[in-house]
Amino acid sequence: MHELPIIESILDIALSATPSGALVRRVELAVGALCDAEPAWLERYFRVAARGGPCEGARLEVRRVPATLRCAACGSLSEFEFRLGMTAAGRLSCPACGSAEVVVEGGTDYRLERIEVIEGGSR
Amino acid sequence: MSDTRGRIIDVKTEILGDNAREADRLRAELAARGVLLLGIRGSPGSGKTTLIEALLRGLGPKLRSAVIEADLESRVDADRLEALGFRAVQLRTGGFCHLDAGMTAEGLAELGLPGPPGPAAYDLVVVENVGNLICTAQVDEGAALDLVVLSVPEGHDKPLKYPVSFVDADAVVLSKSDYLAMGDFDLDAFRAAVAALNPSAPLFVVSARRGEGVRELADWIEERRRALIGARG
Repeated sequence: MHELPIIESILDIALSATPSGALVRRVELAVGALCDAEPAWLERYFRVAARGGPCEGARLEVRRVPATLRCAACGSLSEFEFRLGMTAAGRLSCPACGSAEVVVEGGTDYRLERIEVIEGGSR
Repeated sequence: MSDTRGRIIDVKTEILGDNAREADRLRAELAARGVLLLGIRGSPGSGKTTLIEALLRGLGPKLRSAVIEADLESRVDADRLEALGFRAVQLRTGGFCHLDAGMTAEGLAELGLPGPPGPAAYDLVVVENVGNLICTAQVDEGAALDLVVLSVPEGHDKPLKYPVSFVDADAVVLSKSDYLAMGDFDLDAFRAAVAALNPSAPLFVVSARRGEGVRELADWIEERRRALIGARG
């Protein structure tokens, strides 16, 4: 269960950023496409773990950051899906020129971007 | 529910940042005492423990070594290594599917590490993560050098299905190379996928059972140890 410690960490970070007395309405995460975090499970755990604190009832928004592939042959940077970027032989190739000289550059991010809080009122 | 828009607070914080700082602290403390922590991860049954046995034999008395084993339950692996005369401690994660830096610190403490400043009782500690190709790569366990092990029977397409394990590794080990003779593992496709995910990681093709490729891997570990920690003694 790797989502649970991650959720605890998200709550800790969100709470330490929340001004005293405020309620959290929204928590925005950026999760790289290569991270194995299932948004539906994150939301479910978050809802339960947030009970009884300022994040109770807050909406967890998971923004997916695409994985990117840099091509050494043509220089292009393309977003890609692993399954779509593969040929039948299980190789990665550049969507622009077809070269196999490609390197994965992005997609492993795991960041709490921002929170939205309501001060002195109800959400 | 009111319609007023709340105040937006930028946080921009890495979610696993606390663990990453703890892992960095472990690395620095161990390096200061001349200890290399080598992390090994891979699927259940990929041959991690057998590889560790072969490596420790290959490294011989040149490096004083110990092993930290992590499993959900049991101390099968630690018993196996101790039966061969190696110092091993067993961590039970009790359902957690990966090690974090705090758990590694507990295993190190059983070995008396980091201990007081100055040279430690070990030159190399191998930490075998829980058998799992997914989140073991996402949570930094504090190793200075990380190996990912994939066995031939698992199939050449696994780097593309479990990319994060390969993106972050310092080296990739293809284990059970004696099974390559079966013929359905596409070694070229595997090499291409590993190179795309992690162009700087060397690939070692190893059969721990037959001893093939173990010498090359042991030499690489010694070389990296010298580069990261400095010469022994």
